[in-house]
Amino acid sequence: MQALEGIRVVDLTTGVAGPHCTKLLADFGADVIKVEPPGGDPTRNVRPFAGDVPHPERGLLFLHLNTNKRSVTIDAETEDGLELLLGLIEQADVVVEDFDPGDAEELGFGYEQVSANRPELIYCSITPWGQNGPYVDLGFRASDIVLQGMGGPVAATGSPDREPLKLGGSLALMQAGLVGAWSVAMTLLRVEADGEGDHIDVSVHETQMGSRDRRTTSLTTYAYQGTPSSRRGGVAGLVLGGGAQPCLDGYVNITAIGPKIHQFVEMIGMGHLSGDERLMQPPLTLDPAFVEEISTAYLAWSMSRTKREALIEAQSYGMLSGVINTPEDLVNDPVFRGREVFEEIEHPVAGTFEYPSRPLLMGETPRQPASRAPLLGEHNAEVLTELLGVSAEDLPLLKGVGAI
Amino acid sequence: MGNLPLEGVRVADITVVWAGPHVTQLLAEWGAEVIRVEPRTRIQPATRGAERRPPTPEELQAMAAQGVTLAGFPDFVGRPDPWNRGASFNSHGRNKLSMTADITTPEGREAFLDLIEHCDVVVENNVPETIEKAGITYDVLSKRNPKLIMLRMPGFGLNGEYKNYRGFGLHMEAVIGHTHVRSYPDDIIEAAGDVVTSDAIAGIQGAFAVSMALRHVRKTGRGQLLEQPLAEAFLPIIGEFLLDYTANGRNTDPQGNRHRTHAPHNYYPCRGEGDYIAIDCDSDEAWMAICEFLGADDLLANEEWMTAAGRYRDQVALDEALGDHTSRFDQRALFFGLQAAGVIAGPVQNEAAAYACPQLAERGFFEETGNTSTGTHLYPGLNLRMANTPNHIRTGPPLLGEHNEYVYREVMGYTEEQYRALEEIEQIGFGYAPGVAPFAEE
Repeated sequence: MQALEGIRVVDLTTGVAGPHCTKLLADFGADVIKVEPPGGDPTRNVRPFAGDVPHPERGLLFLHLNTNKRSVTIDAETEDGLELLLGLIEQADVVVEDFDPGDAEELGFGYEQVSANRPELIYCSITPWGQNGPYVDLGFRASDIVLQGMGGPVAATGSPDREPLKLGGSLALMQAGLVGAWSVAMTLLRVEADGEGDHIDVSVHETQMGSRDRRTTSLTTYAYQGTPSSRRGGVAGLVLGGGAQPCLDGYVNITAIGPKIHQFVEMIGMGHLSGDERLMQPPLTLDPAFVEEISTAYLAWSMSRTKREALIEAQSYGMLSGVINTPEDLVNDPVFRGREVFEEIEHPVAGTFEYPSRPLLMGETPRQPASRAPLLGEHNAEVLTELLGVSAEDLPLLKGVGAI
Repeated sequence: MGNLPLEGVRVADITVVWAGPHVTQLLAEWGAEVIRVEPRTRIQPATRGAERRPPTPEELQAMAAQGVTLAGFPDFVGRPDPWNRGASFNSHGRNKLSMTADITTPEGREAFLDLIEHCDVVVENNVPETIEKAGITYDVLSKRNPKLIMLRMPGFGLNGEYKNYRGFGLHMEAVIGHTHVRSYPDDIIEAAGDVVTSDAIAGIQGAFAVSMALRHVRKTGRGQLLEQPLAEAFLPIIGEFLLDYTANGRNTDPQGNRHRTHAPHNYYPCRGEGDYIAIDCDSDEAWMAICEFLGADDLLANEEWMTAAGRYRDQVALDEALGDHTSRFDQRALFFGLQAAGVIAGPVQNEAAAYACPQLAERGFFEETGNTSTGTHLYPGLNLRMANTPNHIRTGPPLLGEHNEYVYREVMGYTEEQYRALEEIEQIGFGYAPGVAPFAEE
């Protein structure tokens, strides 16, 4: 069996956070029915496109985030559409939604409405600020770059000499989606034990504020010392030689933390310093001339090696290290390929190419090969017939009144 | 009012540094009984933050002045027991218990195996060879407890050339391409600094995996091994860039703060020293609203910038011109003013701003907790809520060895004699064994 086999999810989300949540549920075996508004999830039209041809079935972000799902188009603002949607929700174990707080209630499928006779329902809401609070009352809008800046470690990311730097892609939204998937999976344990569902409230803002990318540690330090983080120090500020280091063909990053610093100076040909007490001091408190001496030797060492050579040597000294890859480097890396972290998926419109396959391996519940993201409304007939007993004759009728 | 969903689940925690402890933090927050199994006969690097002498108050002040806050202590004081006082450990330690046993010694290993019989889950994120040398791989543990779930989080996997490669989150994301794609488009890569986002992702991903495996145990009675390499768990998070290569052969350039289509989309300087505001312009109407709010007639006059395509094409010049305007405004005025005009905008908040954030305050994000060494402070709270299951931090970060009595005697059922025997050989004790942390007595 697959890990989430037997779980049905009605997915009312668009964009990145919600679809990432339901992708994870679908990839591990849940039956996810993606209910799209008649025009489709807007992410279908987000760049980049397969073959660089703009088309709602070619958006790569969409294709990535919607594997293993079924798509139905329902206009919940029509009377017939709402009835269909409520029918689907009745058949579901989980609802995931990302409407502005209050909007789902207004449309007739808020948590209180759909859980009244079904306490076992899990209803997961993923929104920028959560379900309440002054920014919700004020109707504030948000997006990934804003939520990273307000909640995440942005103030401490990048160069002190210029504007701060966000994290890659849609990091905050992806992370919040992952929190959503986790919250659903653990609540399922309780539902299956004693029938008690819940209304889960994921605030992207708070998933960043509670993030282990330096944020919770920096917040705790602030509570302890009253000192905020900045772009001056960072992780590299803790160790001599930390940060990106140029090599013949790219960059390596070596972190000689704690006593490893003595092996580090040996490695870069400064063995006479090994054992020197000064090496154990925080680098920012060292004599700049001493730091300069080590930096110069480190640069001479790294610039006479390829990044791979530098990495292998650093690892042989037991040093925490990694090379800085481009996407091309990674996809072609034989070790990653050997572990099958990519899988080929066919798609009738977008074509056939490789996708990232899985975040982990489960020994007893191996993940099955993914099926591609659905075409818009591809499963209208299948889902409505199978779950709601809508007859073949009624389907065109529902289309006629704009319900699907 | 529901029980916490993970109530009744017991977790043995032999994690180090950040990613593994984040998994067990999340499990503990939602009801699991998490028991950290920690050596007191050696110091685990970068875990209880005391792998060398703790920084002096003067050194901590100097570091803080440079914005280095990943090794903070209450009132800048690490001594006498830095392992109980460090922000790095204490930011994830709440709700967990601490027992002492060194799994790399025969006696400590035996105690750990006894504990495993009373646990549902074990979580570890050591270099694979450490677990192999200790003789506590899944085949060994599952013989003692077939229902056991073991989550292993190596850097790169349990096989392959990189199997025993050592790294922090920052090295994993360098390898999978995150460092490259998030760098400034117009600067050297060194300027991007180091981040450890893969620790954050791996922590949540691990809690998700354990929850799914618990469901499987309840249905089938079978535990399992979960293999979740840090690098592989993070890789799908930047999937669209990898797909752009596999589908289109495009090797994405550094993106920095750029959006796929929106411009302006960046952090812009405000009047206050070091203040920045995020602005994300998602429509032509938003562009006009931004210009009108700023009174920026010169920006409005540029016809090229009236369309999304024009703004995107010219975003370097546009960012600079817009920054000239925003830098005349107070951050808060920009935030509330732009939002009132329907523009997506928000302040870059450092920790001081986070603790003062009205949204977090009303939601009760920060919670007071602590232990006898640190006293009480306001800590970052839960990263999700359940409407029918009010939840809070229950206990503060555990002192090293604080729960030995409870775990050995009540959970494992050790006799007085067994307990004393382990005390005598320094397996059981409070704090580090004599000589392990000499700085404590300096």
